[in-house]
Amino acid sequence: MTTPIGDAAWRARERARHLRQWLVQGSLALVIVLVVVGLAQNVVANLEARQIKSGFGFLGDRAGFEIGELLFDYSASDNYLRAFAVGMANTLRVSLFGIVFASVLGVLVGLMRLSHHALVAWVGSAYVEVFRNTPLVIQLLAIYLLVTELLPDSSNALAIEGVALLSKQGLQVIVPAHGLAALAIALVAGTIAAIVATRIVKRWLQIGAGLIGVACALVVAAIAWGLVGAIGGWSRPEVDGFLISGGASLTPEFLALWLGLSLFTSAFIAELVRAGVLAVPIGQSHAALALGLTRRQAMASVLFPQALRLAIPPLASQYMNLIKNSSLAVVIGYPDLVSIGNTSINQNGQALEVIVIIMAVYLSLNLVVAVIMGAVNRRVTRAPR
Amino acid sequence: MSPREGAGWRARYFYSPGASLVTVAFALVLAWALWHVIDWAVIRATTATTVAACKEAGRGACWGFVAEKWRLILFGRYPFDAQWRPALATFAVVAMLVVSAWPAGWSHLRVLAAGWVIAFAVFFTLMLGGVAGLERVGTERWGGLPLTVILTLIGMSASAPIGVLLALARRSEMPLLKSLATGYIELVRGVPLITVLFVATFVFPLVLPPGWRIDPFWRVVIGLVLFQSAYMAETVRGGLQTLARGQREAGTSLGLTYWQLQRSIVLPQALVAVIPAFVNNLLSTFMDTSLVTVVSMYDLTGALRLALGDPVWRDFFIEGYAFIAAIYFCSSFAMSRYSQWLERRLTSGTRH
Repeated sequence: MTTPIGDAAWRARERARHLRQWLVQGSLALVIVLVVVGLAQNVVANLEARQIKSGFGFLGDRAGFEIGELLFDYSASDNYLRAFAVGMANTLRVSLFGIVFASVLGVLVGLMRLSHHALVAWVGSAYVEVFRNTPLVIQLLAIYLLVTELLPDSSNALAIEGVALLSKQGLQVIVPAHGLAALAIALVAGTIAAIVATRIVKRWLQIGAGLIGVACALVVAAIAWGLVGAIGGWSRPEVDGFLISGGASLTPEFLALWLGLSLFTSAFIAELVRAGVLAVPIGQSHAALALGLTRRQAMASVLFPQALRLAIPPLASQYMNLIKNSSLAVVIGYPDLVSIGNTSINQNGQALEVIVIIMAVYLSLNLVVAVIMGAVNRRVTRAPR
Repeated sequence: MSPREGAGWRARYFYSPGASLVTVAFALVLAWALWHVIDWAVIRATTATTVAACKEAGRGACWGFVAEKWRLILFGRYPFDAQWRPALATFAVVAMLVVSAWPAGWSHLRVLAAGWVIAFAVFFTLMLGGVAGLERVGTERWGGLPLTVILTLIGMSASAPIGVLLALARRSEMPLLKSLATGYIELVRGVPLITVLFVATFVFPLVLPPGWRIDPFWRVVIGLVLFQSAYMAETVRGGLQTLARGQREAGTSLGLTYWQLQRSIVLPQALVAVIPAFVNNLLSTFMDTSLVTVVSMYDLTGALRLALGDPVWRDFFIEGYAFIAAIYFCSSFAMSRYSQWLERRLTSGTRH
């Protein structure tokens, strides 16, 4: 038998406190149930009065609207489910492109801000202040108008002959004629290269083997992709009057959203990089320099790897912000999940269901980013062996 | 800090051949960019208020667009002759905001609170009218800067108390309360603001008893407040976590009840610690209000789109965006500098 804690009066007070807590929670639960039931009744009555159906059955109905940007086949006669899938694919595509570009730009600008060169540091700060202190909506609208109004017409597009075309109709670039095969082969070759390179490099390098592996993978993947094009033929963008055919096409909406999201997010990433490096104790920098490393070497192999550990958790939340901000696509007409949802609500009025779908998708995307970044974080914070 | 801080210009810009090269290259690019901006914005620009004159001026900026449309951009569709009212109303709340930013005034919290009540009352009286011979103007005609400012301020002031309660609930020992608060905060922080605005626009009318209507302005305000309170709760929770355990234990052993403890020991310390974060929240609310243009409100951004809807002036969108971007930039820049200054002030003496 355990000895009871405290005296009798204290135990009585504790019992009373617990009782009070359960009473509070019980009444809270009751109030919530009553409110929810009441609201649900209102919703049912309102839906009936407006003759709006409910339930997710509408996903099987014919959508009846066209979408300007497709990663896989879709037409107006397909159902809503497929339309939502297209929207989600578009959200994923612009987010992925954005995350990559924003990270590259962000690290670059963050390092600029840390430069001992006053002018370089000033340009970095100016960049950060401008993009952080104006709303993303305005940046997107302005970039979209710049792209669609100031670029030349398709008939006199800016061109690198046979490789790329830039005009009001967006950016068209050369791709292998067997596009999917090229991507698949590049993916396989890249993965193999990453594994092999990491194994080999690990023999004489303790840290940084992973980064070198990724670099090798990218190079090998690019070569494999190019080989498929060289052997199987290229699909080149060509202008025929006002029509552009061939190549892979990035629409002006995609370009504007991609650029806007990347510039905006890169300003925040730059700040994380800078804060991370500044948080590394100055002694580390002094020690590295005393060992005879140059400033650039010290940054690359001493300061930056340590800064990365601090920067990864907030970096994950910046990536999530970028994914959430991609919903602003709706202001420039890029058909992401939210735009498709908006169209769907306007057509059939089933707002509740559509909003539930959109929220569920964003929450799961957040979860995916959290899991991936958690894994990266564990790798980075693991002490080198 | 850079070791070259405070050194002469030669040591700062030409300390090595590489640095000299970088200096020259950057200076050339900057000078080139600056020249083009000045050329466009000043030298070739025209302030003529007709489209014909602008077209004739060619490649320069056409500030005539801003000169012609600034009242539409700043005040939206508010009746033209009564636009002194939104101007005065905005001035009243912004002045109150500036007064509250002065730390010496924080020891007179009651006076400040009374000041805010009066400022809000003045704002709504002037904007809505219907009394003292002022013509009544419904919220559907509000727009431009006053709308942006009031959405920001209500969003901020209403979400602060809700945020405090949510943060306390999330740290409570009661499992139901704790999981409800955590669930709400994480749900809202996991979805984009647009979806919350969609909920406000499409779902609020559905949950009201049949026959009731809710004004679109208040709908959006409630949506913003619900969204912002989740972020506010996390800010406050950050402050609560900075507090040493002993503070609470000391309070409890003195026999203080939960609410006495929060009111006189915990919150005063926790909230002061996160004042700079509050300013940053204010800043992000201010920027976030530009999203209400998606649900057909004519805030500053929406009003500019309204002005650009005039096909005659459509070509001069750069001038328009430059104008409102400058308004947003100056306000945000001032707020972020103020927040940094506060942070240094509050932490001075606590750092070596």
